Amino acid sequence: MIQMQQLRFGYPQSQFRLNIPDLIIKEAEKVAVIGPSGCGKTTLLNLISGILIPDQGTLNSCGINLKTLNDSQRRAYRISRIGFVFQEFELIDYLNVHENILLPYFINGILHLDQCVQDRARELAASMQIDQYFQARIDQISQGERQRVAICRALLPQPQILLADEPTGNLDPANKRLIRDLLIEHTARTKATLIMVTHDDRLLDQFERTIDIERFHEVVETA
Amino acid sequence: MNGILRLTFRYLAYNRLKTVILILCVSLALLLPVLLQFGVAQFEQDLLARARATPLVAGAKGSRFDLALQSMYFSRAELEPTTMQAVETIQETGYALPIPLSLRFTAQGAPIVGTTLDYFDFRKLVVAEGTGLRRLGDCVIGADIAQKQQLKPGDRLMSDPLNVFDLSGNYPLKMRVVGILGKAGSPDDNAVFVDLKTEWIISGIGHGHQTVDSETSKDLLLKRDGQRVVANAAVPQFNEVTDENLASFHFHGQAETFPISSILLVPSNEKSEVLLLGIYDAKNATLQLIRPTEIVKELLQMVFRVKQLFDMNTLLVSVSVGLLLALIFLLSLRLRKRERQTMFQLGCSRSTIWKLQLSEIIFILGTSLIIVLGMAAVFRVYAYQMMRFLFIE
Amino acid sequence: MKKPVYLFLVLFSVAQLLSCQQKTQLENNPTSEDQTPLVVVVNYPLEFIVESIAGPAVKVLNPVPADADPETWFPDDAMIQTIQQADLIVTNGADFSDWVKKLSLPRSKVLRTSLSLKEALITVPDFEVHSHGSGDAHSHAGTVSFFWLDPRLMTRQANAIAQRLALLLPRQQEEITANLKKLEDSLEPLNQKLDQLRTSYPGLQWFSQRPVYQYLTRRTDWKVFHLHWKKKTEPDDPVWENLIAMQEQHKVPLMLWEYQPEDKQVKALQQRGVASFVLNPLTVKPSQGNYLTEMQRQLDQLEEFLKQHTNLSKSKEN
Repeated sequence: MIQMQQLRFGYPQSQFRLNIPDLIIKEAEKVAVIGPSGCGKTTLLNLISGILIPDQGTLNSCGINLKTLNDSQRRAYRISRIGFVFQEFELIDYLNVHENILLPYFINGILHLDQCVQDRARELAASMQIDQYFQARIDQISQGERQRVAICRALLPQPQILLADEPTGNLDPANKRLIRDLLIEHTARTKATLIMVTHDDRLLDQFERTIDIERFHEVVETA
Repeated sequence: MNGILRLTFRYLAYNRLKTVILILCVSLALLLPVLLQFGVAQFEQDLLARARATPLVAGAKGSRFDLALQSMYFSRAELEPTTMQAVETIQETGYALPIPLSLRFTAQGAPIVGTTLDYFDFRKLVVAEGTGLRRLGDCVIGADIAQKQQLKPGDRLMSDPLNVFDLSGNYPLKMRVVGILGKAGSPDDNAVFVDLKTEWIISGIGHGHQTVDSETSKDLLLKRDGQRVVANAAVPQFNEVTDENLASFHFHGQAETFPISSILLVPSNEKSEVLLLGIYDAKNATLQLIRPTEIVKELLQMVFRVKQLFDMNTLLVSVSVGLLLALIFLLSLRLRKRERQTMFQLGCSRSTIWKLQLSEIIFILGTSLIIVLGMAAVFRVYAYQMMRFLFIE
Repeated sequence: MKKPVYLFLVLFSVAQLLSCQQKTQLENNPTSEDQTPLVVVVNYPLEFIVESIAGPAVKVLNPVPADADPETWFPDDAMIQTIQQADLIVTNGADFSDWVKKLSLPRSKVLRTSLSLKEALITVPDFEVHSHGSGDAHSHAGTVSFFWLDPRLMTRQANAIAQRLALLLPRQQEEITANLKKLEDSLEPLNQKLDQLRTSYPGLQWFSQRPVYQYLTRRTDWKVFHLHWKKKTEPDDPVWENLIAMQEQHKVPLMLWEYQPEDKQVKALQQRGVASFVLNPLTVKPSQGNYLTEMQRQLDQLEEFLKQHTNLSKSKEN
């Protein structure tokens, strides 16, 4: 599903370097990414999602060499193949729960909002037990419920890869597990690849593999 | 609904106070210049149309503006009257059809226009209800005054006394409304038309009173000389012309000496017009002959000068409102940075972000514009009266 | 990005609406369906003139019924409308007919024949003197309106009418000129008769009931005293006293009547040495003949009457 070879990436004017000689994540694999802060966990997700472009090496995802895509192709790839779940949920405060779930369909013409999508949104919400809040405003629901809305939003376009950047960081222990389980359960159901960044070792037990990003991280001395 | 529109509307509705304030702010900035533009354009159009339909106006020497505006718009002006002799003189030249106008009185505040039947043909006025003027005491009223005063043919309309303290001159005349004119979209809609002779009755030049004879009114009789009778001052005058008392109405003096306010002239052709203008161009001429289009153009120059000041102001206000709006949108952009970032990460297309911002601006500007145009449409109805009030009355 | 398009459409249509003129187009009144122009006249002499000049080219309407007095008659609403829509309204002027003064008429279509003889008009103090309000007593002065009794003035009236008819009927111009000439010629015998009367009976003095005959007596150089007798009213004592006073002062032997007076009035006048003669000014169409024949007949009778009365007075003097 995701293949990285001799991949090198660095931010301009920064000592941070990511150097991945070889990394393969298989289809439907549930991977946890760990490592201390600032060692490139989010950078890895951004590379996989096409937000960042590697300086060197190859990065194939879903059979596509991301380096060959232009900006709008990368956006199209992202919206159709990638689902994103953030630590801060990043829900839109002026939309209700329902509309937040449908957001990907509002912002890129590649996705077509039809009855089928609407039905799926409702099913997803029901499966996450937030369907009773469908018309509620974001500030009217709890943190855990908000993250469930964010997961619904990420899953609705049926992505092949679900990237979760510390999705449990702002949640209480019970919700942490619940969210992790929901992510694993739903990606298992859709046979999607799950890559979840976490700091919490207690959550790692349900993952098939753990990647410590620390080993790919290097600091270069700049002149 | 289109996703961007949905997001825009949701955003504007969520921040409704900000939206309303912005719309109000833009509307208010646009309102004055737009209203002024509409008002002036309408005023110009109406004024020029009326002036073009009024080739020449004659009247006693004095203010040319007053003469033109009073003759076209029946506005109140203290014009020196001229006499019917002037009408006869013009008629005798054969160069133009003179249409006399007498404009001294009002009825329920509306101008009473004493004229002849030719006026109706000249202005192409049609009677929508009832009939045209038939006899002394009849009046035909414009569509607006009919509506305002709820008058219909058969009703009576009293002329207003010229001066409450005037004991000697005119008495209010109860006029018979015989017809309502169709809407003409001109000052004719708000005028009460009477025959010139009826106007003279209102002004006291003509009157009707009980027949004085020795049998019926001994107490009124002062002197008898053959069949000549001299009656005392108490002969009661009629304040209304009825079929019964019509015969008793009469005028004192020669019709040629009777006063009129001005004369509309319909020249037979261009040459006649030039010849007429030549005749009255002389220094010793008692009348002045004017081309209303020239007067109106002069008046419009005045209006445009005032408007220029407003336009300057508008420019400054527009710039400051523009800058203010730019600031607000910049702040809004900054506030929504995180939202944009999220959308970017989710894979939103590049144009979407800009479309979102743009549709918000367009919505605010568009709504303001609709409000302003809506108000302008309402204003249009009153623009004419307002401009008249400002520049003519 | 559909919304801005809608917005523009809305704004555009609003602007369109605003720029539209709401003024309704007023249709011009169609000209009368009947092609023959309608000429309204106020009395029989004018009717006679118009008919003589225009012939069948116009429809002449004398709206006054045969039994009505054209001076005081007033039209009903239907007739008012007909008159107002006429192509030409020939009025006598000098306040001859009451309705002309009280009706609303299109000035452009009114021909006032008195305007053509302004300097020849005769003004007399009127019948009634009164005052009202705070004003002093005043009289209603008036111009004598029976111009046609002087055939020369009638010719001038005819000329004015012919000029106006020529404008109304540009194609019949020649015919109008010819007819006018014919009319002028036919009035000549009346002129001659009046000249003859002036030479034969110089300086006669007459009473008349009302100011009617001034133009005729000016032609014949006679003097006329009007008595201000109301038409068809029995003169009472003060009226007679007035007559006697004038009789003593001026020794007036003759009186002209517009209509046949009652026998007792004729006798009463006779007793006071006043002989009556009826000279109908023909404001109404005569039952027989036309204006010319009737006026000629009346003037012949007048000559006969004068012959008798002057002989009588001469024999009295002898």
